[in-house]
Amino acid sequence: MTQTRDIERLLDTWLGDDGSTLPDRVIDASLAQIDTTPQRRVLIRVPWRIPTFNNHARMALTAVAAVVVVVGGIALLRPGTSSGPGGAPSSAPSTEPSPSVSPSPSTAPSPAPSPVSTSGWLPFSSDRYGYQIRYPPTSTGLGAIETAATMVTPASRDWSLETDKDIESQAAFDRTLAAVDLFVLGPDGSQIYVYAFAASVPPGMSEDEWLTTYYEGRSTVCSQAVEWQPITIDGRTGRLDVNDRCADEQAFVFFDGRVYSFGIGQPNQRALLEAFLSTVRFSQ
Amino acid sequence: MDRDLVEAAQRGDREAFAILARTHGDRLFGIAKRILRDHDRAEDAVQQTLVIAWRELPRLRDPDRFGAWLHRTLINRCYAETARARRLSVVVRELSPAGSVAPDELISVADRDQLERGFRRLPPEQRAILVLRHYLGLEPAEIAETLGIPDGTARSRLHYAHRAMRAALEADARSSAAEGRSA
Repeated sequence: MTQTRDIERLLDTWLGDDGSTLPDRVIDASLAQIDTTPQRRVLIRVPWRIPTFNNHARMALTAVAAVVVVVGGIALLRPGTSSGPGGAPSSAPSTEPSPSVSPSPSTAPSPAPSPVSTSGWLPFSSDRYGYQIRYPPTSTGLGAIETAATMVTPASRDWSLETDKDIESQAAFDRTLAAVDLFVLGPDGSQIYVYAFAASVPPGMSEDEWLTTYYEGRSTVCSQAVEWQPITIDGRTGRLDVNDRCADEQAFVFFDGRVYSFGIGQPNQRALLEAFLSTVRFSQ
Repeated sequence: MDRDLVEAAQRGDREAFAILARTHGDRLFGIAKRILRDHDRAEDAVQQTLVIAWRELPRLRDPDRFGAWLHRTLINRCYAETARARRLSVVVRELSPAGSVAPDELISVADRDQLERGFRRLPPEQRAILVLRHYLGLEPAEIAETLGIPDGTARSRLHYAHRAMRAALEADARSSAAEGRSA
């Protein structure tokens, strides 16, 4: 075998099809494993529905350009899906029951302990949305199946209700992605998405009303009542959605007429989200 | 057909996913076996890939790209398998060259051995791109789509993989010649 031979022809022959047959037991084992493996269902929940509870609020919410800082889990939404938690919002009025939002947490907020060390995490400053946060430089030991350098994608434009409420199409969803600060831990096939959003709260709208609006339009899968646990972010009282069926965990904090939300796009990653939250510093 | 099955599986239909798994299983195994050069590790990689695919499927935005997406997931698993094997200093059970490739009059047993040795010298990234090209028969643009890299990058990687393979074979030939002289 010399260099004069055609290496490509040799490889064509050598690597060519030999009728590889995967043993049935491998398929069977895989299918048995998926029986206990939940699919990752994540959603950028945007308040895409016009509020139904108050015409004044509807007008106000429509008029106010939302500023959104998203730190949390982001799924790749598919157009036309109605049953998945990532189901796209329908332009037609929904007959599905709206999820309910429980009253504000009554117990005193207390920061949950964070078992995930943030030592060595790198700073990220969002001038656009006015917060600082730290993120792990790699996904090592953080739940991703494989390790890779963390990819940070700052938002390239402000999030706005008017332009981002429709995420039904691929193009619309991609536009929305451009409006969030996004941290992707792990390589393809093993990503943990971390996102956040914050929005100006229309005058006169309470926190519960805002959240009710925000959670409207969720698919049936996600439509159970939201339950909250108090949480503290940079010394400010917030709330954490603790029973999200859509496989992400998301925290909200309201102050100075704005709401900031931080979430994570993978089940059972609350500790990691809380580690992120422990590093948040608001600029104002 | 795949599109309907993929969309059903994205909605949580396990039967649909089972059909997809059986449809694509042999091809996945063929890719993994060629990259990893090990039957058992190839089976492990395919099994892990199918589980990851099930879990991540709702995130696949274009069902028509399921095949490429699945191959990409598998190749990432093969990279991880290779790294894990290195970390654990596993003595890799060699894929028998005679058993892995159908007898072919165009390549002698000695040549296949030499190809095997040369291929093993390549990093997994170069093995993968050669497998995509010469096993799946993908064009550079299709390789780029599968690996999620620009077209030009795919062409460049393919060029360097061929060059590396040629260099590995030449090094092997020189080594064999030196052994012959010293014998």
